[in-house]
Amino acid sequence: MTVACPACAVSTVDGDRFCESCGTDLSAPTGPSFPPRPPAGAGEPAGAAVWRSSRAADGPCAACGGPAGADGYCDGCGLRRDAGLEHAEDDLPGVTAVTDRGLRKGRNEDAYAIGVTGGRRAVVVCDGVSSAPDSDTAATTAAVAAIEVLTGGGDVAAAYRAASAAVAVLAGSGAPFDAPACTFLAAVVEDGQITVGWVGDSRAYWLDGDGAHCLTVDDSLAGQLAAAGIDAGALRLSAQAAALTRWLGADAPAGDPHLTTLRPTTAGVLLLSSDGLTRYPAWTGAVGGDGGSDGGGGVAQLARRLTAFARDAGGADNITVAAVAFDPGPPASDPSRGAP
Amino acid sequence: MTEPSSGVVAEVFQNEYLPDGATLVDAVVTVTAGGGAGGVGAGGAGPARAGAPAAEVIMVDCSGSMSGERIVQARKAAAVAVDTLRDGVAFAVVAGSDWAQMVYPEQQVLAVAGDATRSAAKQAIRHLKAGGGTQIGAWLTLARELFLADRAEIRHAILLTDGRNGESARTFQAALDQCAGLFVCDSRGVGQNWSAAELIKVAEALLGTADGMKDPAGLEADFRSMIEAAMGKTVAGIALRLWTPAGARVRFVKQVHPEILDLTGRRTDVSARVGDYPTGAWGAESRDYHVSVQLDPGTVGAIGEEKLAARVSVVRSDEVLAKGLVRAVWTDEIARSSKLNRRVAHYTGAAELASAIQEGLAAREAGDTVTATARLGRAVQLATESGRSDTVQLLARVVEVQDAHTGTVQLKRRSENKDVDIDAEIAALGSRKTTRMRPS
Repeated sequence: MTVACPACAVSTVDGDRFCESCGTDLSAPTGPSFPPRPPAGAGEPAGAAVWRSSRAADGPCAACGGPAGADGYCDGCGLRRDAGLEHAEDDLPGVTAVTDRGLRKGRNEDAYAIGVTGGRRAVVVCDGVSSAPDSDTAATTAAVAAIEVLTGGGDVAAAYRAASAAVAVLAGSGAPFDAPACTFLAAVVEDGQITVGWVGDSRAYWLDGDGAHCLTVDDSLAGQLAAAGIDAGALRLSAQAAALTRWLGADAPAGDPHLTTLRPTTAGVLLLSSDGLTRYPAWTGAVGGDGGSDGGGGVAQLARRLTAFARDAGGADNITVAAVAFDPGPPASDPSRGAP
Repeated sequence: MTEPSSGVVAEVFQNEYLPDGATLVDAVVTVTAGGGAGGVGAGGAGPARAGAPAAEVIMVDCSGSMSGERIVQARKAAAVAVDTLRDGVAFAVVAGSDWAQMVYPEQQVLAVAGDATRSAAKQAIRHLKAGGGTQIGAWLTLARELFLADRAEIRHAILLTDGRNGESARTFQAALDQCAGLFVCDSRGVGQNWSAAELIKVAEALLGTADGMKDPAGLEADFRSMIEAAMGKTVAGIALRLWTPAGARVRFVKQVHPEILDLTGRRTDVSARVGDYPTGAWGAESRDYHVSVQLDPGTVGAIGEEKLAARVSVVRSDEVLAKGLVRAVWTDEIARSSKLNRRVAHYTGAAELASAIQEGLAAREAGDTVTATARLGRAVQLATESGRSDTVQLLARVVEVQDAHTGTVQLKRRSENKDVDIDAEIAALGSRKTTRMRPS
């Protein structure tokens, strides 16, 4: 059975979650109250902005079919509607992201968003702070707010500001000290340059034949010490040393994101990950000797392989892995697909 | 959480973690209205509410048993109450016996408080005489008629009695039902013949306080503080609105602080899953409510799943002033699910103590020695555990305490000494007053 995409009228295959042509979310209910996401740049399919995220679809309650209340709980059975999906995978040309609840956490409080527009590839990974309430909402809200800016042509700092503002307003006026919170990590790959911005402890790595090079410094005492070349392990720091010193939320310290740029001269993979993967140092062994850029099936396989590794290693936390293929040459007019 | 500028905050205290398959969710909701000027609604867009029109009816028992020192003190207390009224408040003083009679003004209307009316009212109060019986329902019915003929928003009454109601339970209940929702009534027992159960009935129907004392000398100060509290109310008709999920049953909704008031039976359905529980008039104050919800066993969440057990909001008509969420999260970690929320535990214990005393005294009254001994024994045990030595002492007038820690008691033979009985009634009322836990 085929149905027409509600946005661009191209026929779609039953079971598709998104329109192949314009990227409209097909699972979203249509109608006056839920207008389909307007496809950015509609009318010029070749360079149209397309993005995907781990945000859960709107619509009736998964348990009882009831409508959702404004507070995120079902009006029928009271089931909490998680902001993000328990497991999600998305592939865009040269970009793949995977998120998974893991084995121990009750819900997935990580979120990703990936987007492609023109020659630009953008990735956002956010990790909900588990000690704060509704962290899944914070992470999903931040990721979506950021990717909308990045696929609209904005830079990483602008994406951070949009995400930060969107998360800050989630807090109820009753308890600002107990506000939804998350980390922020975003990267833009464009014109042979990689720009990474972050706040918190989600990390970006550059993977090439030489191994994994961390591009970010965690916003924690332990992270700062490690960046300064001090062996934090030998100091026998308390668990408090890993506590975040910066985050997004109504109660977050003010400031700009950390930014770093690089212009690799070789092909490789930009990897973004929540600490659900990097808490297992052996993860680098699962990358593959070639940086995972080929042979292992490209970035699509790499992201899935690393997610599976983190689950097998114990799955103690939510896992999110996003991988972007990098080629130092000028961006190809038809970028090769990550998945064969 | 508070709604923007309503001046009201609702906070939920609970252990949301439930063991696998569990369906019972308990929470304490603390509602605090405007610590600043004006109280409820003061910050809203509407006009300042500090001067919301108020009406007051003072009902004084003038039955035959009031003669002597009691009627003297009752006159003094009523006069002080009149003096405490704010200028402009509509008021009346009613003498209660086998019927209700206007003391001031003479006609069946409310007078407007001012220097002249206050002094005329006090003059009339001086002539109060004792004689006849006690028909409390008739007094309340007159108060109701007076309030209905007036447009005041804040309606408050004081009821003073020294005896037991002479009406049938049905007549009394019918009068209470007619008055419910129209005005708030604080009731007071004085002397040695009143019944705590009757005062509690008035309190629960009319959302007021109930108290009792042996010595009428304390009435004056008590009346003053009741009127002062009533004059501090700025808005009436506040309700606690409860949404519960499909298939859930509200086990109870109780005000648990400052006094225990069971509101469960006072629900008005708003829709299939939403009901309102009246809370009366509010000033700048804070109250605690204990909400207990039994979820549908067929819809219990899986491990790790989170559901809403209730949405609690504070409403005035349909305007939401504040709201809070009562949640349920199922877990297989016993360390989490077995934890008792301190506030919930505190008020659960306080409510059990209050009902053990009330049920024990009711059984004693009915001659059911076995139940009376069991319930009063439990009351002694609970009061001992929670350090309420004043309650234990009062209970020791009606039971012989053999072991306070195990609650082993023997019912004393009823004597002609009414003083013994009234101590038990005072204990029954006193145990309804709760203390708050210090924030931890």
